[in-house]
Amino acid sequence: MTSARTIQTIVNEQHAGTSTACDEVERSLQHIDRVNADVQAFREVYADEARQAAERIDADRAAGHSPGALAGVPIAIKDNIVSRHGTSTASSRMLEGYVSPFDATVVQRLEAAGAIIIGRTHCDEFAMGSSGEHGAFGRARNPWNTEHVPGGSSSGSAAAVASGCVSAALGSDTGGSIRQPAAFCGIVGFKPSYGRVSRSGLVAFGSSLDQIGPMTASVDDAAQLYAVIAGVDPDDATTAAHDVEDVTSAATLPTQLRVGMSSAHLDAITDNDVRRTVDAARDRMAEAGASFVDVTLPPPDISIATYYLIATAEASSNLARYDGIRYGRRAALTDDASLEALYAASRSEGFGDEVRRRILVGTFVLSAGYADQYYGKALKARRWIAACYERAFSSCDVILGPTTPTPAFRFGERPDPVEMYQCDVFTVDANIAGLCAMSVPMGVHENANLPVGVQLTAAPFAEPTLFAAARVLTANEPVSLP
Amino acid sequence: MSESPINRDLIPHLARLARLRIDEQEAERLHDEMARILAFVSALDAIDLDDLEPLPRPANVVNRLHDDEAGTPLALGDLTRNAPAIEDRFVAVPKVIGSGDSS
Repeated sequence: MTSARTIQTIVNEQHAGTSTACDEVERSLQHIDRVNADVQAFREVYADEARQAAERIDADRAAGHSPGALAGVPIAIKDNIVSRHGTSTASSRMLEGYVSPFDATVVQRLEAAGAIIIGRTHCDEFAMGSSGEHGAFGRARNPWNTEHVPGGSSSGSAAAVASGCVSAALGSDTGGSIRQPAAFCGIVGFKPSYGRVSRSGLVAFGSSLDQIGPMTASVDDAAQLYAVIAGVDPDDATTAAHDVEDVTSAATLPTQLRVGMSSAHLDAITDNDVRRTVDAARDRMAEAGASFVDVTLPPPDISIATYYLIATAEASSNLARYDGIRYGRRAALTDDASLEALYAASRSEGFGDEVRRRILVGTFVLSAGYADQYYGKALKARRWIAACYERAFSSCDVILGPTTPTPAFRFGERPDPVEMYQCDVFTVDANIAGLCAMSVPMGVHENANLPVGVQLTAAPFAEPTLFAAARVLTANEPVSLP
Repeated sequence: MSESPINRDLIPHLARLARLRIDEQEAERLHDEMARILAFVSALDAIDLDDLEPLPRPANVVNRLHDDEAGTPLALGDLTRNAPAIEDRFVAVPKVIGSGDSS
């Protein structure tokens, strides 16, 4: 095992003059060349554009201009984040060949800070999936063992970081899509509080749940990336207007961290190695002087039910925009075909199985006669879940638990969609209630020889506490690569 | 959620609403999956939610409106580049008026 190369290292080397942005881009491109055939993290690589951007950054630095916080750092983006680089498809045939007329706010902010977008990573189609198996153009593999899934839906972003192609990538998280693949691939994955990072330019799945966030090789790298992408954006009316909290190690914090744990959640872990990993994390926090309280969290089956009702309802509504008219796939029909026939044919050709399934479920839970009974009920359960967390955070600063019930499984091992939905059992609450949460790697599963992550969760906008707890757990060491 | 709404007509009905074409084989598979999905979401029956207000988005979200100022629009060419069919500056669509098809 080797230690990952961090953003901090890259920035320091270029500052000291021992490396350049051009060197860094070449290093990344060569590594991608070596491993991508096997790991299949990247759907598109922007070699020429990245080299040009690196030359500009090096020239700027040579001319004495102050480089940005991420100057010369290659970064990968998930395929559901639009940019004018290449084609933005959300890994769906529906958007095959789509050239975005604008850059997502997060891409604008990364590039303004000097980061170099090196490529675009495979994901589950429209970010719907927990394994990376539902992308239309390829399936990223777990760099620790390529017979295993990298997790999803930010599958390629996790694989790109864990295979050492890049130090950092952006993912998006609707029910665990940053944290679960981060745990499966042994990297840091951070879902910010809802409203902290602009969703402008994120292909919408569940608009009240989606957040973009960093997937990185260290906790400090996640903090650095977050500081660049977070903050109010006129193009996303749901971004919070108050100043972004300081998440650097200099932030002021409670002197003693109060850590909440749910014995009911812990008892629900059936995998002994996962349980041991959570225990190890607890011990490490105890050594650092943390105190522990038992907290009552929503029962897992309530969380999953609430999540799937809300997520499918919002997905069916958001995906109604794909009609084959102004952009996206249009079916080739005869001239006398009706508009209605064109909609249905285009949508049926463009969407894959998992997306169709979720659209139908979402259509059902919003349909006349059932909306109150299903969607309406889920929104009440959402308030109930949010209240559970409010109560929990009145007695603790951060909650510690597993990120996933098991380590990464094999491709094809979970063909049943309902069983697959259970992968998200520990991650969906943060999206339902708008909390911030992070998965940090805590060693390797003894039986499977695959990484295991633990999850830290904090109240909305309590990112400083979340990062402080994560630094305790990881001692801020870079993650290990396979 | 006690009474199952699943019947043979449900999937074709939903497919029509969602503008999706579903063949019989897929409809049958989806019928079974839908039944199982609705069974697992019935977990919500176990908690008393009657007195709670719905929460459509996280509680901390305040919807902001921005000032009514003209911005720079995206270039027309950048927008129409992605249209599947263009005639002149316009997106071409099938004949809508007088086609006699209202399905």
